[in-house]
Amino acid sequence: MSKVAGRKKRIIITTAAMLVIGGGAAFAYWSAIGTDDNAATAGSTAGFTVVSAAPSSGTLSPGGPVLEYTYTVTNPGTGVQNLTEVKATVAGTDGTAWSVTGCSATDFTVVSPAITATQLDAGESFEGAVTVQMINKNENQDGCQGKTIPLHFVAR
Amino acid sequence: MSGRRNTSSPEAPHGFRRGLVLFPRTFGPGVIAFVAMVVVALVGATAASAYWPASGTGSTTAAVATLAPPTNVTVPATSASNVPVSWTESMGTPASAGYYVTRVTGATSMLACGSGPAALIAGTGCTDTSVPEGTHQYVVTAVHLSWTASSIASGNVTVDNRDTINFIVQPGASVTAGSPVQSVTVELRTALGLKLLLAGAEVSIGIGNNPAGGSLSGTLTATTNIWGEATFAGLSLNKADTGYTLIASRPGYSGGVSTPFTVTAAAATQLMVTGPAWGTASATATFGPFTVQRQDAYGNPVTTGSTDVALASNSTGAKVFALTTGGATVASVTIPAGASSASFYYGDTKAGSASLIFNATGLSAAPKPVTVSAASAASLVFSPTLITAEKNKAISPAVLVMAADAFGNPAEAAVTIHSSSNCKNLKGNETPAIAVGGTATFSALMFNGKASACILTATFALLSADSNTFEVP
Repeated sequence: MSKVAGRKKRIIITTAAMLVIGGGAAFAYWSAIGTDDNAATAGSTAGFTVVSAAPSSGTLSPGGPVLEYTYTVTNPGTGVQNLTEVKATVAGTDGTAWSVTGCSATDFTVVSPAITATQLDAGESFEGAVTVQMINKNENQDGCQGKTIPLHFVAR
Repeated sequence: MSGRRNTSSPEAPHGFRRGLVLFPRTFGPGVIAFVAMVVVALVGATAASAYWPASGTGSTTAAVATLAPPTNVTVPATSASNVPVSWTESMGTPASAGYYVTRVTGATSMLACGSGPAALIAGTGCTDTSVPEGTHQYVVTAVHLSWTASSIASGNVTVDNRDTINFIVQPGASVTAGSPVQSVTVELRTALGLKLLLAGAEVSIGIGNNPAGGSLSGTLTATTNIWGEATFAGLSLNKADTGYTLIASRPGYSGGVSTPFTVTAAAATQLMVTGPAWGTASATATFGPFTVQRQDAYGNPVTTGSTDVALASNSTGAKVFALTTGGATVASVTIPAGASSASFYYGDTKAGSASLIFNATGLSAAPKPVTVSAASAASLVFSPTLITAEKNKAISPAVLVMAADAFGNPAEAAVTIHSSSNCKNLKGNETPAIAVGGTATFSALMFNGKASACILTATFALLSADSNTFEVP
């Protein structure tokens, strides 16, 4: 009787120990993936890549044409990543405010249509478009003539 | 042992039960633990395989067009008082809506041909009349909405006319905006520079050099007396600046230009506030900067005196003002002597429309309307709070998820819903619902089959909220 109980106890203890080890291993795996993805959020190699193309023709002018700029967001990582928003602004490549003498981001309207949240598999891409138009202000906007305006895209 | 099951006992009978006894002895704890570990690992792996948020950036450029200037501005080398000006139209896209012409004499310039930014010439030529004697050039400016493009200057034209107009009483050196300019008198002269005693001749007066785009008010025509002199009294200008001149003209005569004079701002009567029309809800003053300027009745900035401007808002939220973004709260801002304006920032926790209100002794001020939009969603809440469901029927009432910012304002969010792992037969949640006005509506959620102890989880970015636990009978 006591022999049987001892064996049971050993089995239970051993099982519990292995469960802990096994669980620990499983947790470590989960945790490793999370860390990687957190790094992706901070802009590591697993962050989205965004490539945009200017329209083949047309230029901006006060109250002028609404130009469409297409973009492609790609998940370069190895896991599924959720894409909920792609937003474009007139800003420098680092997202800082852009302006030159007599012209700034306030001279333009950028419309980034809402997208349906999408889970992108590894290597998968999402395509969309934003529109840009120059506002006709009630003040001189000569400073914008002939300028090259930076468009900054953020995908998240 | 009687009365006890001895399946795991060494004393158990041979055969199947004996086999059961040998199983744990041979593989027992290790196998069980291994199986458990695999189960745990699989559970962990399932969680890890869910999507993760990520972000990325990209950039491109947009090209802005250029308005082409007119070209080939042409004038004769010599002319009487009427100077013909012609040019070649602006080419390309965008197209010019018209042109205005400027006569340049030395360091000063003035509008010519009766044209101006608000009085464009549609064609490609005009005649500048009653041009003062001397040497001039002309510049033609194309206009397209808020854009302008000026030509290079024409060649010189030397105006030499038989009859001229000459100022014999000049305007004062300085005048206050809106106040009468000292009366000025002009005379008609012959080619030899002698006074032309011609009575009853009508002479017009206007602004020559106009540095601030001001307007000239008063009686702008006068008739010569028997001495060939015309006097203009009660003239006034409304925009403050230096370097104004007056020009007197009469068809067939070369115009006369006065000496330059200054127009100064009148006494302050009002405050003008400019700044962004909208901002994001915030407990600190991050909305701005706003600029409050002290002005006279004509909109000229006034730099004399010191003015304290009390700041207020009619918002029902918690609102603050500061002199710097996110700075210490203030109740007023001071426009010091020597300056015409001061800046401040605004913060408001309540999303919606509000008016900023300003109060300064002796000065009027129109409220400044602003719109405060909700900050980023900071919480999600299910509505109704108790969800009930029945298999193969859309959950009714529809499941709503309320998104709000940190201040309780309805916020925008693309909300996704999924069910707990023990209730995997949820349908109608394939796409996220956009929380318009703070409410994301899921009207087609349905369980295809019975389920027990179900929980719905709503997520947006890093936010999540769980529903109550409910059964699906």
